[in-house]
Amino acid sequence: MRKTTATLVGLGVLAFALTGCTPAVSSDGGTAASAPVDAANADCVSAVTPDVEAAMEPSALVAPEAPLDLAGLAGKKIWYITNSQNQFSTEMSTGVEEAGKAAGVDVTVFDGQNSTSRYSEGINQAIAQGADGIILMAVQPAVVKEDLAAAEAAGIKVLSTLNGDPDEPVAAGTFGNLTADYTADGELMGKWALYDSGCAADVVVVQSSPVHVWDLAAKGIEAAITDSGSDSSVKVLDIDPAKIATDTTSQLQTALQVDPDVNYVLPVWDSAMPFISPAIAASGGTAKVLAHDGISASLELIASGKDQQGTVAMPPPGWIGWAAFDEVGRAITGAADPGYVIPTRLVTSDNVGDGSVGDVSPNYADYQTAFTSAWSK
Amino acid sequence: MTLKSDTPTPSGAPDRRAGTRLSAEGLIPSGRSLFGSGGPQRFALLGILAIILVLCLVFIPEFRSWRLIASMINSQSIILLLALVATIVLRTGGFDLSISQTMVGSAALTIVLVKSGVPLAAAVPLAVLLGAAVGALNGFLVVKIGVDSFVTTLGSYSALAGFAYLVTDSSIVAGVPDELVNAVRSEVLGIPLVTWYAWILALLLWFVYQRTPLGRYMLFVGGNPDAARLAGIRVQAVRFGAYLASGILSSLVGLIFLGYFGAVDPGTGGQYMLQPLAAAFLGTTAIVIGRFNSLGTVVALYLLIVGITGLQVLGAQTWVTNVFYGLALMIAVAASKLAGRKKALR
Repeated sequence: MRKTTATLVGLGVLAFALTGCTPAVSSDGGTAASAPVDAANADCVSAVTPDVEAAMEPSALVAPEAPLDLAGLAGKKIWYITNSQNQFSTEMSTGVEEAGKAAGVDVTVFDGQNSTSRYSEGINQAIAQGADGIILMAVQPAVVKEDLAAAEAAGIKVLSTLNGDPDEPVAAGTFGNLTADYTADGELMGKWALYDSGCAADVVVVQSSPVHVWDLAAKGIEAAITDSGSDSSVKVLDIDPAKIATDTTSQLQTALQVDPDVNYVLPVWDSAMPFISPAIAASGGTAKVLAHDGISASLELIASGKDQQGTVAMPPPGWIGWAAFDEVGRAITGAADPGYVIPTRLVTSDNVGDGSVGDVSPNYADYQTAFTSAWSK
Repeated sequence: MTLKSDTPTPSGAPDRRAGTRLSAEGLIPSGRSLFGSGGPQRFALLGILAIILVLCLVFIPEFRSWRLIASMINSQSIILLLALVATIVLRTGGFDLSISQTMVGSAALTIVLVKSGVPLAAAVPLAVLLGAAVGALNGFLVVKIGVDSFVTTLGSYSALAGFAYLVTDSSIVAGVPDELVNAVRSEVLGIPLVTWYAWILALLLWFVYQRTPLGRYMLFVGGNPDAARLAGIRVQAVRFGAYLASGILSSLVGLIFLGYFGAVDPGTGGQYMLQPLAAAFLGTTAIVIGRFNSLGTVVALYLLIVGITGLQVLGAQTWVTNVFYGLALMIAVAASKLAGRKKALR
């Protein structure tokens, strides 16, 4: 036994002595330079450049133009049911609550805990407690179909948010869907990879197809790359949504080892970044990363020049909360649905500034006032 | 003095059919075998791993790359670390479901403290203290009060999930100091330190389980606590110590988790709950059959990783890997059980 232990210790010491430690993080934290534009791909670059450059401009403020019947809304009850508790849903709930306070409406926040039974419970509690409106945050209406039918029967106005593209049919039991154009955003992500690489992009997309909006974005990326007519290629990693934390890194790591030429990794949601970074680092750290959503942690990474090179950013989630409240409020009072679409902006190191709302969404610095002013016209 | 003892099963319950006589002296390691008893079948899983690896090397060209092999080994190191930690309480006949949330909670506390200006050197002991507190609370409730370990640790699991959301304000917190990232991701012999830490823990636990009286006491306490008590073993101290060690080690894994991912998402703990336990149970089918053991856990996890990676490289869809994972677990544990019955009949 002593011999075995001594041998193991000896081998370990020898290994350390011979190899030393290779630092994982370099001091510069820089990324690979963009590839030179190949002449054969010049047409491709010309085609995508206008879209990419236009998408880097700040998003225009989306705000109501018509007044809201605040007297008719006073004392009403609105429930905000989240898919789960995370940074995005929390910030959005803050927006809903702020708007409710400004309009004199009682807002109840219910955490769906990523569970269909909890979504159902939330909707049924809302019905039982006499809610006038419900905002579903990234809860797919199909999984609570019967509960939505019950809500509709009770006269409750239900708004779905962040589900599908704006032009998709409205789900039964809901009156609208406040969302971004995920397919177009996916196409933009693919175009950015083409633009940045001179149409020599070898792309890995990371998504989880049961999440409908992620699937739409992934399909948009695939379409942009395959329709580009360039030498670029795309591969999609479809992660089990229940194993995102445990499987994303390993699957991406394997993909990067199998194809060392991958130069772009496009996860379709920013919160995937903690699982993307270790895989990129293990592969040598040259692939660039562009994601979607624009959460503050990702904007910080882009601003710092580490790990993530860009994102397709929505306005602050608080604004989405205000917009959702506005839509439900109008539905409750019988006004026309404004049919807002969540705008997005391509954010990279070129336009991220310090990552603050003022730099990333300059037209959204005081969106609250835009709502309250329009409401009281 | 001689005692009637039962061979512990993966569930920690005694297997009456496989009863053997064990002397009190038998609780002390004999030093005759590196891996304990179990016959040739204890290397069956290792053999299957070798066969799958060779098949992959022969039929999948992408496998013939050191980087891919290294990436396979590294990719599940956090799961391996947690699985090894899970064996500690499992070996004493209990369950610790809270390890994944202790990991995330400790990581969350550390990064939030660091971001608020506390030096890393001061934040780390506080994170370990959190793990110790969780382990001590679990141990107190299970050992002293007599609450079921499953219920107790499920409770602490939930409370810690809330704690992680509380301290991070439900946000992903990034900005881990480079020194912690380097302490986890730096490579030695082409393998990141995170993997070395898992291997070191596996060897350490193997030594404790197989070569020290404590390891045998844990096994005996897990298999038959009444008999262990009669043999003079401090059953309560051993069980309490297991929960304490589990909590402390989980918080250390939390620091590794933090360095590896470079950020903390407070919602990730739930996804680390079952896989480590599955690996620990699968580990009972290798090296030391029917007992929670560290080297068996390593072999079991690597078997799953090689199989799943092979399927991924071949382009299998997500559901295929899930089916492989589930079937491998069921078949291996059932085969081990059948082998144990045959042996008992002989």
